[in-house]
Formats: sequence, C-alpha cells, structure tokens
Amino acid sequence: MAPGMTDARGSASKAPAPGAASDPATQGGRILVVDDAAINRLTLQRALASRGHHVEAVVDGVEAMDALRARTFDLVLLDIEMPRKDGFETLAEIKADERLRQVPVIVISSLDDTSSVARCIEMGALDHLPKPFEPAVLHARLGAALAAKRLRDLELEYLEQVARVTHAAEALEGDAFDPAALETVAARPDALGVLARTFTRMATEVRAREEALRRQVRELTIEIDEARQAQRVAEVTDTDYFRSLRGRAAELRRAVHGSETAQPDAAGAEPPEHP
Amino acid sequence: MSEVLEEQALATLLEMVGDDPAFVDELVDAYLADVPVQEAALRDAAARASAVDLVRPAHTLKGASLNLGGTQAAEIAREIEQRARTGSVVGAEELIASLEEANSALEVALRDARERRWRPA
Repeated sequence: MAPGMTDARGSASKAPAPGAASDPATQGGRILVVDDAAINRLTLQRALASRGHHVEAVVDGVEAMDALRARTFDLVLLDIEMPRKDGFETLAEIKADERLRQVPVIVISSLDDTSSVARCIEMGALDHLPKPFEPAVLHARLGAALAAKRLRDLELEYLEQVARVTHAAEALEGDAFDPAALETVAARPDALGVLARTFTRMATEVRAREEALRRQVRELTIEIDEARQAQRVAEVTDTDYFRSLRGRAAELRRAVHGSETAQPDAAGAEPPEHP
Repeated sequence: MSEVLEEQALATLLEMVGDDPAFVDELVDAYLADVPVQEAALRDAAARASAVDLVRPAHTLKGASLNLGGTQAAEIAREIEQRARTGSVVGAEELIASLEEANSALEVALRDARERRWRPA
C-alpha cells in the first residue's frame, strides 16, 4: 500500500501496481493531495475517501514528485504555498515530465490568491479549488476533472490499439505477424475489436493456405527431381555406345564362363596344354 | 470586525468529513496544537524583522483558521502575510498580538462548539 493511502472507509486500501489504469468513473479516482497543512490534508483525505476515491496525501512538492514517479494517479490536488518545493515548482516539474504532464492538476488556493491561481492556470493547471473547502464545489470539480481524464485515457488507449493493428499489418507483410499481438484489441466490443478479430482470422487463413502451397511445391519438386533422374538414366542407357558396352560385357561374361568350365578342378593351376 | 467563529464553516467541515464529529475533534486538536508553534515562528520572525520568515506561518494560520471558521484570526493572519510579501514588517508586532488574541478567542469558541458536537448553536 502506498504511504498515506486511504479508501472509502478511511482505512488502508490495496494499491494497484504502478502504471495500472484505474477507472475513476466507476471505481473512484486515484488522487494525490499535496498540502503542508495537516488540517487540509486530513479533511481532503476524509472527504474524498468518503466518495470512493483512493487518496494519498503528502506534505510538499518533493514528496509529491516522488509519489507521482512511483505510482499512477488520476488527479493531483496541489497547494501553492509549501516548504521545500512549492506549488509553482511542482507544477512546472509535472508539466516538464512527458509521462506526468497529462495528469490533471487542480491547485488549492485561498480566495484572495487570484494572481497565484492565474499563474498556475497559465502553467497548465486544470482548475483551482478555493479554501475553505465547499463539499459541492470540491466534488463537482473533481468529478469533471476525473471524467475528462477518463475520456482522455480512453482516447489514448484507442489510438494505441489502432497503432497495434497498423503494426500487425506491417508485420504481416514482413511475414512476422503474431496473432497474440492483437489479442487485447480483438477483445474490444466495438468496431475496432471486429476489425482486429477479422484481421487475425484472415491472416491466420492466409498463413495456412501459404503453408499448404509451400508443402505442395516441396512435393512437386521431389517428383520433378525423380523424373529428371529417370530421364537422365534413360538418356544414358539408350545410346549406341551404351549398347556396345553391354554387348562387350556380355562377351566378356561368356568368355569368363567358358574359361571356368574348361578348368573345373584346377583353380589357380596352370591350364593343361591342348594338343 | 468579522466573527471569531463562523459556525456555518464548522457545519460545512462536518459535512465534508462525512458527518463525523469525532474526526472534527481530531482536526481541531491538531489545529490547537499547531497554533502556538506558528505564533512562536511569527514572534521570532518579527523580532528579527524578517518579512520572508513571516510569510509561511501567517499563511499556515490563515488557511487553517479559515477551514475551521475562524474568520477573525484568518483576516489578521492574511494582513500579516500580505504585508510580509511586500517586504514590510511595519506593524507586525501589533498584528501578531491581535492575532494571538483572536486565536485565544477562537480556541474558547471551538471548545464551546465541541460541546455541541460542532452543531450550530
């Protein structure tokens, strides 16, 4: 569990692994509260946890950056006036980080601190939350921010999965398509899922046909090789030279046979002289 | 002069924390424990005529007092913070004395409100 993390009952909650997506619309968002004032931290933790959000609270920008780099959050509630690293520095660091810049930041401010709020909005903060906190305002602003974050996450996921289909098409051309690469996309219930399933099925069928054709080609190649060998043998045996060789071989066999019958019991001995 | 304790703020706070008076007890106890620390920091900064060091304790007391309905203390703390942000320590000692009085009055009012479990009188 992340330090300071509380759930709807204000007790410890099981935190998902870093990078794991959460669904703020249905499960509550993962919210990081950054405020050096203990009363504000405790109040916000309790108020947000009571609405089903998972809340982690830290005391300044240094701890906030550590938490943001170690875990995944859907929203940051950021106080401006803090020791060590204030809200401006923290916001600038978040916006400079490619992985963190999409995390929405709502700055916590006093009603009289309009210039700081304006500066934070210019730096990329999504909204501001005035102190003292008003429950209706707090939950309305958080709800809107989390819904926008959820929508953006869905858009990013969609684009990433479209890219997977595109890469699969490239892989298919390079004969390196792996159906497992599209499993997640194919599980979608929408049109992109239909596309991924159809693509996978057709690619698998095409691969099976190609494999069958390769097998047929291999078999035909063997048959052709055998026929060529037979033809070469026939070409050699059907010549006058080969026939004359066979004739001579037959004569030699007869001559050898005749010689053996004339000396049936004197193998290795001198042949007798004929008169 | 604004109210020592704006009781509607306490009602809002109670609503914020899920209508849990015991949790408000904890918040108020944390606040009351921190007030002397912040007041000492203000006194120290004023004695050293350090406007920079006045800002943070004044800001902290302003925010905490506001959340608990201590509008009078919050206003004085805001005045100290705003002056200090311009680099001025003029009148800081007097303002700190006023703030200490407002904080004492707020503490008494909070103890009364605790007796009512943070409900308006």
